Amino acid sequence: MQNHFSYRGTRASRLGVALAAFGVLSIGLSCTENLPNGPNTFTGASIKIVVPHDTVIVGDSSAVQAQATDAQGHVVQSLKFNWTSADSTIVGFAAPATTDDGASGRARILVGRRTGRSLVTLALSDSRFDAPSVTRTETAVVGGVRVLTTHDSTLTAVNDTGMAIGAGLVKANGSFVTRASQGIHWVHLGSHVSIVGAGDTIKYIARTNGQDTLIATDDFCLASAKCADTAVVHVSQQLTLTLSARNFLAWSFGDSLGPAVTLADRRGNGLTGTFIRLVPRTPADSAIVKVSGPIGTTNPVNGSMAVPQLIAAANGSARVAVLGIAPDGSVIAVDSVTEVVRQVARRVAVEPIHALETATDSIPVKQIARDARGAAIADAAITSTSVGIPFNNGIWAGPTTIVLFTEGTLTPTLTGLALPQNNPAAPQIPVIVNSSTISLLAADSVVAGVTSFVITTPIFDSLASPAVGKWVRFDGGIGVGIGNTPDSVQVDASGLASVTWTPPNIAGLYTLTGVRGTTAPMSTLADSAGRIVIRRTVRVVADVPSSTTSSVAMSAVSIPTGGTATLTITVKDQFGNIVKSAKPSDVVVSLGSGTLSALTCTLGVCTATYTAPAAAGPDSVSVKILGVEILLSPLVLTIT
Amino acid sequence: MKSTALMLAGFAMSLATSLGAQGTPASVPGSQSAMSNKRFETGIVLGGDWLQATYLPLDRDALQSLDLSVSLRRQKWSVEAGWLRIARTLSTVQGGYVSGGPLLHMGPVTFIPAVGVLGGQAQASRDSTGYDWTAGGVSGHTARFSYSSAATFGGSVGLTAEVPVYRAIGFRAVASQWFFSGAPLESDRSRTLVGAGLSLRLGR
Repeated sequence: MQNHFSYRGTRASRLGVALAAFGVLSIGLSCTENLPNGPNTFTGASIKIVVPHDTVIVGDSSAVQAQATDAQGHVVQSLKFNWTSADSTIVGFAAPATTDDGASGRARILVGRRTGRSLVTLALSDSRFDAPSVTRTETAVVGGVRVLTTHDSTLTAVNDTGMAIGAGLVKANGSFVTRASQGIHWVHLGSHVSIVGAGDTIKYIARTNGQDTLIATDDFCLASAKCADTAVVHVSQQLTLTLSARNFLAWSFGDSLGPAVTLADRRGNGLTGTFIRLVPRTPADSAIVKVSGPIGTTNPVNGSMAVPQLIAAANGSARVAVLGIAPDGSVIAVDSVTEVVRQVARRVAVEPIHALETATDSIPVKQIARDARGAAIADAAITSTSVGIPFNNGIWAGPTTIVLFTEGTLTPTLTGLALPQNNPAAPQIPVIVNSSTISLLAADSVVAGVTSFVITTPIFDSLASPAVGKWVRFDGGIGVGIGNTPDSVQVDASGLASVTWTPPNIAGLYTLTGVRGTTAPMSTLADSAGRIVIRRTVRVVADVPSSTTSSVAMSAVSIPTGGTATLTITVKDQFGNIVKSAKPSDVVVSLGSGTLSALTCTLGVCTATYTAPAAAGPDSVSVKILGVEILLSPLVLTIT
Repeated sequence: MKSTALMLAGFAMSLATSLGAQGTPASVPGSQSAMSNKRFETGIVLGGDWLQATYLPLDRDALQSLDLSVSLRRQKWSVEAGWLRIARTLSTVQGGYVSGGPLLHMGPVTFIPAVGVLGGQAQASRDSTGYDWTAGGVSGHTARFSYSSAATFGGSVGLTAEVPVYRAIGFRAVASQWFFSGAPLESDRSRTLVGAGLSLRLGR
């Protein structure tokens, strides 16, 4: 049994054992273990940033959470996340909490640090997940904008500056506080100030009058907050007048005086469109000074102004307001000046300086003192002395009686207020004395028919200079009045006025008056005083007797025999003028049979007594001049 | 499961082969049972055990835990060599082992307390990188396994109770506690095996 078993068993059992062992081993070793492995990554997972809102006020914080979900939407636990902020100076993270969520990054606190946007990135640093990083734009904003400086400022001078500071409202310990450097910027509306600088602090510089608005705002501001604050800047130049002088002295009428005026703010800037007006305070002041138009130019850069001038017009003291006028017409500055006008004589004269007159005439003269500009000094005290010509009533020069040509002089003397020495502040220039020289002509006559003659005389103006080019005007005219004269003659280059005067052929006395031409009419005696430079009087006498105009008359043409009648002969010249100088010899009387007494001539009328003959019958009387029967000659008489 | 079936079939075939080779002794009358016991005390004994009793179900489609052994027995002791596979859901340890111990008899039952060593391979998948999740108040876990394989050495203490059943076939129950080295089994080095199997005595 044992052998059998051993014999057969040895071989069979060993083979069976080997087969069994091999089979089991083969099966066992060849089996797939199917031990799970992987997955390498969990696909389909995603992460996201869970945040209540994407806006955080600067200084405030906002809790954010990281959340990862797998492909099935399950929220994956126990992951670690990495948080980064693209600009941690805008949005940063608070230190992680010591909790698991904090340490793992599942919960973080966003902190707004300054305004702006920052990309916050959440990354899952776990190789098991292929979840891409996610980002979210977080915005740090201010909780409002506030202007820290004044909301309403006024600059009173160009180039005045002001400061505007805007600040954002940020959180600090749970409360809003203002803080600079939060991205505030300014919006400038208007052009009256210029802005320097940027950011939350700016400087504004006054440029022109007006109002600008500055708006502080922030691009990053809480939507529901007051995100703009306004400051209004007024530029209103306070201009003041600066006068170079306030008191003026004028020594002559026509003097133009005035202060140099600056109308500027305290920085020396003017204002375009402003102007200066001078206004005498009272009508009396207006009589003393007149106001001219503005002189000079206005420079708004430095405020120097074109200023009207005060023109002295009367002696006295005048107060004048100096007004600075704004472009809109309003008065923005007032000052005043005082001008004292006191004429001081530069010359004293008796006018005319020279005149030509017939000695039998007289002319009105004027004693006059003139200031440096030639204006008459009304209140000058003048006395005159005359030589060679009467000076009547202080105004009349002449008449006189002379035989030959001569000259008289009137010499003035000035006293009183108008003397320079009585006005120490005035220029102490000696007063020029201009005497008046009157050329006197003896009485003259011309014969009718040859009346024309020439008058030549020097003409001077009021300042005793030859009045070259000036005009002398004459009264009368051609064919009327004083005869044939020109209307006016012009003083030649030698200072002589020459006029040809042709008085009428009508016997009589004629006077020609020549007046220095001015624009002033001569209505009164005073108007004429000093202006008459020619006063020439001539007498026109009759020419020689003329048969054509002389006539004869008999007191009766029927005379009884032996009776008498008066013969009258009127002797006239060719112009009809009675020849007052007629003599009996100028006529020849012849009779038929009667007799005639001797002729007697008186003032151009010759008479004689005719005695009729004893026999009746016709008779005749013939009167001839130069052999020619005169008018009505011969007379036919009847002797009865 | 398919591989398990194949394994059992192979084991049955080898066992049948052994039975066929000992057909004659199988026809020995029952009076020879006492002798049979003795026969298990000496000679070569083949053994095979299913060792999955302590870890069921095996949630993996793989061959379950078992061993195949050849033991040399002498009156007082037994030396055994074989192949051992310990399958768990997430690990497998398999390799050749050698154990030895005294033979203790208690009636028909032979107790073999033994110590053994194993050299082989350890494979393990570890859900070390999975994740937990929640969804709508429900929490869960999604596993992510990392597989590793390395040589392993192990040692064991065990007790085998063997009782002859029929001629050269015996039934035995096995319990052992193994400890293994190797990185894949880090923090999971012990394995408790309880199983049952058959023994086939090949000779004295």
